[in-house]
Amino acid sequence: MITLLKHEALRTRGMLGIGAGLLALLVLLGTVLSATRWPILAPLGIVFGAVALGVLAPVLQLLLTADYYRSSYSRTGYFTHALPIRGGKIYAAKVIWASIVTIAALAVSLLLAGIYWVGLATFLGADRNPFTAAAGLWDSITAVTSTGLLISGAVFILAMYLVWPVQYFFAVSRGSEMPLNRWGVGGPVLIFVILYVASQLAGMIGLFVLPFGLAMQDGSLGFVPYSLLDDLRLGGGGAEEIMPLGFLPALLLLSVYCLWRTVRSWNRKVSLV
Amino acid sequence: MRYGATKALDDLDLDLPPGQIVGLLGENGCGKTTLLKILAGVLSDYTGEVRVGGYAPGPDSKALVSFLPDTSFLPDAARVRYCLELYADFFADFDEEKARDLIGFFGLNESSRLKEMSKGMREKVQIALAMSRNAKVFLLDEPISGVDPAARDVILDGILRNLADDSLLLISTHLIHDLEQVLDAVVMMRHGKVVLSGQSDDLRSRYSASLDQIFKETYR
Repeated sequence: MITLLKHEALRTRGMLGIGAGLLALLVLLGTVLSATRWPILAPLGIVFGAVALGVLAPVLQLLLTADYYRSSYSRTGYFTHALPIRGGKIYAAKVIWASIVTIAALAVSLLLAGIYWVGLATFLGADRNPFTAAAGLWDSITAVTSTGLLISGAVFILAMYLVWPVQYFFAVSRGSEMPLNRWGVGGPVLIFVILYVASQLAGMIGLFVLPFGLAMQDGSLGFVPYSLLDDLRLGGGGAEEIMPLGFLPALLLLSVYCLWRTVRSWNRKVSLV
Repeated sequence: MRYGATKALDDLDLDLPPGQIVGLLGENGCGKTTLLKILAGVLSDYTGEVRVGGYAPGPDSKALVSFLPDTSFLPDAARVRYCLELYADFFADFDEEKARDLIGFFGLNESSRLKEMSKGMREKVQIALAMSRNAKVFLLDEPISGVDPAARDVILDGILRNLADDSLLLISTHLIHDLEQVLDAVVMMRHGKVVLSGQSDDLRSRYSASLDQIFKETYR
């Protein structure tokens, strides 16, 4: 596994470095522009900086997906699939590497957010010290949230990022099996569209079937029973105070299916054309 | 094995013993590449039974098989030196000294990037890597097509330079004239079926003709 991870890193580091570097430059440019407080340019800088910050991890995940296709089902796939290693293990290395990159990208995003804050605060006339701002944000969150919920929230956010490579890789692998493999990248794109529709349906079913949500209760945030069906029957008055969470287990289940099915694809369904 | 309505391989029954060089011959689209891909374990949608060294295509058979596909299968940006590291890391039977010897024999530079090389040079790198494994089975898909006649001889010399006596070398081609002297046996395919197979000497004496002439006659 270590050897597989080593070569994942060696093969993708240049591409990831360029992608992350360009986005970091955009954030810095946005920061500088917003700090100038010039009309038009400063608001543009705020927008560009925020977008670059927000898309850093997703862009790197998409770059890894392109590499996943190239290294598994395009020309270089012939080398990958000729290795005397079970396919599921090679796939596991790719998922682990994508997870490491995602976590690293989120950490870099946090760091860049601190820099970005200096420019934004200058524009807004607020305190420019990012640590003061972060401490204030932390205090306001912990004032209404228990430690358990805070940890759950962090795990939830991380899981929402980590399921994307799993779903992208599923679409690429399933779309590269017979007979879709003759369509080139068309197969993966088709499977991704089907997966997107399936995830929307699964999320919707989850909202109706699993009756719980997140809401403020007695001054703190917590899990509450919540039925979307009842809420709709009563005219939808309660939806603004409660965030339904029933979609979450459904989406996680779908991702577990994607993991299982992609392992099966690597072990039994490889068809390079 | 089917591609849509087309049968790529049809009722194929083949047993290839070790210790020989076998030419897999036939027109484009006759099923040569499909057969090699199945044996290499990169094509799984077939029906029937396949065994390589006693194993069904999978990690165990891949440990015995060195596969050279008819495409550039290494990362374009990689240097030759990195490709050597790649093979050394993943194939227990890879002989790095043998690979360096072949790289030198082909006149290649280890610090060159693949994308800076001509098609013939890249093919030589891939052959140096594939042939430097102490594999039981070598599957080479059209290794000399697309290169000039002078380079073909050098490539063929490189392929045969370190080949062990007990290994099976299955080499697909339609350039039979260039391989005539080195083939111990041939398998001629058409429309996914074997139309003629046997030891080269037996076929030559049976038809009183060279393999090249037999080939032309078979596909007339």
